[in-house]
Amino acid sequence: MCFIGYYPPECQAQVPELPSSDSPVENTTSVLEASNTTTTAYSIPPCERGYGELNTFYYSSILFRYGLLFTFCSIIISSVWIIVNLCCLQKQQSSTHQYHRRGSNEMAIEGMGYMAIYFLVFTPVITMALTDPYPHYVGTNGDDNNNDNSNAYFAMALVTKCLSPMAGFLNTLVFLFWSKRRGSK
Amino acid sequence: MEVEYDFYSKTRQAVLGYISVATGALSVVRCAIMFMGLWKNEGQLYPPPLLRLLLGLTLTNWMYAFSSTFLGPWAMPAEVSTYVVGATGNWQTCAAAGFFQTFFVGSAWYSFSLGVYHVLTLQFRLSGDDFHQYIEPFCHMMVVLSTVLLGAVALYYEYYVPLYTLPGMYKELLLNLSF
Repeated sequence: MCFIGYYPPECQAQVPELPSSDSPVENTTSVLEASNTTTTAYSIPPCERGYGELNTFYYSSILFRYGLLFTFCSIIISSVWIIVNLCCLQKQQSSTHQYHRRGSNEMAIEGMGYMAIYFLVFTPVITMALTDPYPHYVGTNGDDNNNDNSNAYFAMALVTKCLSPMAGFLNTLVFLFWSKRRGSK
Repeated sequence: MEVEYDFYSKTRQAVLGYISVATGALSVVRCAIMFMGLWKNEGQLYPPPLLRLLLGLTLTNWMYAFSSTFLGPWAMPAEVSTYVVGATGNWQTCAAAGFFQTFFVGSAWYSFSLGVYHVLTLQFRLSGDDFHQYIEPFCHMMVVLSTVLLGAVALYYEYYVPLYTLPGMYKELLLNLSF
């Protein structure tokens, strides 16, 4: 993986030139040192921040990255479970819950509304996270220069940037819909 | 290796940078309305655990929308104005924006908790007290771990850097949200 694309050009270090393949290799250790120097120059730009602790931080990031996938799969399972419960087991429903003063079916349908908005908002996000298009590699894949995914990537980014902050707005629509429905009763 | 900083045209950069400002402004207002409505809880319609989960969901969404609206592209460091339109901030504003952006993941965990709550109360007939005693602490704990704690660690080690149009997020593609 390469993160150079996220740094501004003036932050990137000058990469020392490798010895050309034509020149005879006299000392193998010097070649190894040269390659190490190159790697270092690529991965630690001069104005980079906090790179040294990145490896320790990677393990805590697993919670962050795979947490989204975990919630996505779990909510699919629980949604199917709730729908099956609502459709097939309605006769067994009783309104004797301790705190449920209104029907539990109605409450479950309201909860399904919030989960539907979760799907609407997070499906593009997780799709982008899984496909991982790397826009800065466009046109640099060797001889194959026909991998211009800039339009598709822009469309995905537009949908994601549009929908992500609107999650609260859409949740509020569900909340106000059920508030009005309860008020009219 | 060549790095294409002009992957997006200037128009596309501006669209991507400022579309979330507009949609986030909608959310900031509406989330406040929903938060007040839940806080009043007229008629005691929501059981207390569900009410707390919904309040947390609204709060995390509000913080993300706040970041999108008020810490938009202007909060990016001025050094990256070559590929972010209107970047006039510094590294501190970038880190603040990134910290608020992490609360987006908290809303995912609260949605997960809503699903768990409904399955447990509908299918397994778990009472609200039992949910509050055994399940609810873990729901809030996951949110705090994945947002506040991780964000504080990232603030301490200065992991927030500007991406293409996002004001600030972890560098190591924690979400791969590199749009």
